Amino acid sequence: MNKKTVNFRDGKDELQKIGKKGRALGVCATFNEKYLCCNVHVLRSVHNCPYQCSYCFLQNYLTDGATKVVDDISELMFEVRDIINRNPQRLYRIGTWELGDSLALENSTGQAANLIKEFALLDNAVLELKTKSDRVDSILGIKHRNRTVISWSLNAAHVISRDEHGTASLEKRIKAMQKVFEAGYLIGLHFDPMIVHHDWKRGYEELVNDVFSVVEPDRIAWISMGSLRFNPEMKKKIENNYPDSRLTSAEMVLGDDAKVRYVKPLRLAMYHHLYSLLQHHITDENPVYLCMERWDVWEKVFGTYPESISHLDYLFARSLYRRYGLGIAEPVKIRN
Amino acid sequence: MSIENVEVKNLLVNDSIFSLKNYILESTPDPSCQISSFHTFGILYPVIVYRDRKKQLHLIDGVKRMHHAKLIEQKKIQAMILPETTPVTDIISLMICNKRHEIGSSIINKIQSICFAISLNAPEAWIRDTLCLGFDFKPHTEFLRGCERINNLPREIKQFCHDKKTSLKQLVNFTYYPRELLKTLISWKSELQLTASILDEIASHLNDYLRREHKNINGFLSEPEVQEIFDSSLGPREKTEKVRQLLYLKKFPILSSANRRIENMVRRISLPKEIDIHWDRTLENKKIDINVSISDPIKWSGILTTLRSDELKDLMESILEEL
Repeated sequence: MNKKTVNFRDGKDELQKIGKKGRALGVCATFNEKYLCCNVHVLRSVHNCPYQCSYCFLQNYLTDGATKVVDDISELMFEVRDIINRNPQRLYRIGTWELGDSLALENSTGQAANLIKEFALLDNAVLELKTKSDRVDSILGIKHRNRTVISWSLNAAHVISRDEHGTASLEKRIKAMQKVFEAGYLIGLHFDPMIVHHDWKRGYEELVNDVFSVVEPDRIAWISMGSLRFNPEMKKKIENNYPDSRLTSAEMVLGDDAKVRYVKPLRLAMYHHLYSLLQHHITDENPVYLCMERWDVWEKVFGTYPESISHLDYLFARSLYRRYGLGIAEPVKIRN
Repeated sequence: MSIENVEVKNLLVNDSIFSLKNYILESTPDPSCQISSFHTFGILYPVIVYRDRKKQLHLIDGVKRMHHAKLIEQKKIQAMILPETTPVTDIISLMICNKRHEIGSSIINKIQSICFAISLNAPEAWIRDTLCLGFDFKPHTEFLRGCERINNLPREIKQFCHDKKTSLKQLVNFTYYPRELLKTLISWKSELQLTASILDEIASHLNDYLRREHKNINGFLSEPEVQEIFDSSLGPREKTEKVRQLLYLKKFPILSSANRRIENMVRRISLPKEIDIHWDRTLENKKIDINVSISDPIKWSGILTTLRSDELKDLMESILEEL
């Protein structure tokens, strides 16, 4: 039988609702022993994204570019329950953003709203919906029981306008964040991928000030920082798909996880700058972490680093339990 | 199919829709052997031509015979005429078979043959299944688009790729660089010692540098350090190395400067030649390797003293701090 496939770009305009096929729940695919991963679980409920970020790995990843949304929520949740019930003491963080945006298609699918309602019934799992959109109106009134974190992928306004084509502007994201904050949701902030551009220090300073003009630190579940990285073969693809983008011209090296990223001194300068900005607004209770970074980079930025990936998982669980009562009991640190 | 005597002047050669002139590249054309054979035997075989709907005659096979006929001012030539109804795929197959030696001699010529078939509107499925597979390429539509991009490279680059037997990967890489940049780089052929991989490396670093600094190629060429290299009396090999080093510095300024600082630290403590210090020059891995090579046991205690010294310990700390 001929299977109809569409390319990555055409597929962005074609929404297909599909049933669940195979396993949908897994761990974030970026695991590498030299780069620390936060050990989040991912629920593959969305494939492809209507937005066109020039750095997006999907342009080199999806073989069938059609935008697909799993509409069989009960099947998805059956799998989620099956996994989390095997280890009720553990608090699972589960995101739906691995292969797409968690909220960009919400007006057409209602998928996120259904997942929020389902996760509100769970005791040892937190749903993370990560977005570059402002599509939050339909989820504001849902009883979420703090079991959902609405997260934004955030960048300096200049980067958004130049490299995150079709996404909500920073101003719109901030307004949406305010609505979600006022609706009592927990909020996640992902300053990732940080991108070097003209006057980037000021760009990220303005970004941090904008964010903290609408949210209070006690409702911020977690904050991540990460820098631009991609598979080496993506370089030519980005240059071909986005000839005006200068992303790939930066000083980057190949890491042990087979991804190119900014040279370490540059990454450190960016993280130091952003972290010092964040420290004016957050407290010691706010977990701040680096996405896919080396242990020594953690140490240079924070002065410390987790003992292992499971230790980092434990630190998240402890923070969420102590601050919001998430999970069924205070987590126990497991020795590695 | 008939054999007829046709007027030489009525035969389309370079203007033939089947002319391979713009497609197939030759290394160093040397027609002398053929010409001497013409002088000895004359033109022995009929040329092959295609008669189109408007009765125009397009040469398919016999460029050198036609050239000789014109040279000796021969008015007519024997030609085997393929009728208008001949499938284009049959004509392409015939031509590729006739030119199999030249086509098989480089990847670029195989790709050019595919582009030749595309230019004649040969069915895509036939191109994929017959030509791509025949040349050991992937029979995908996307690959055909890649072939067209390669065909659009400047002629000088294509000739270079033919001469240097450039790989498909490098050919594809070249399609991502601006034409002007490639034309400039290939014009350095006489001054630098260029291989396909060196050309690719120079193009990649220079392209990134120009894009990052919002410069054009002329801006780069007017930089004093660049002029100094090209104005120097160095040989092609040394000039090439200088250009590569310069471009590395420009592409990786932060990395270069950190590595230079570490090199200076190491140089300052004057280690014995038996001790080598290595670090990851991408700065990613925070670790140092110390190699000791010894050929004379009498030196061992001196080496141990150096390894135990505070000076070396301080050096290790400074390097690790930098990494």
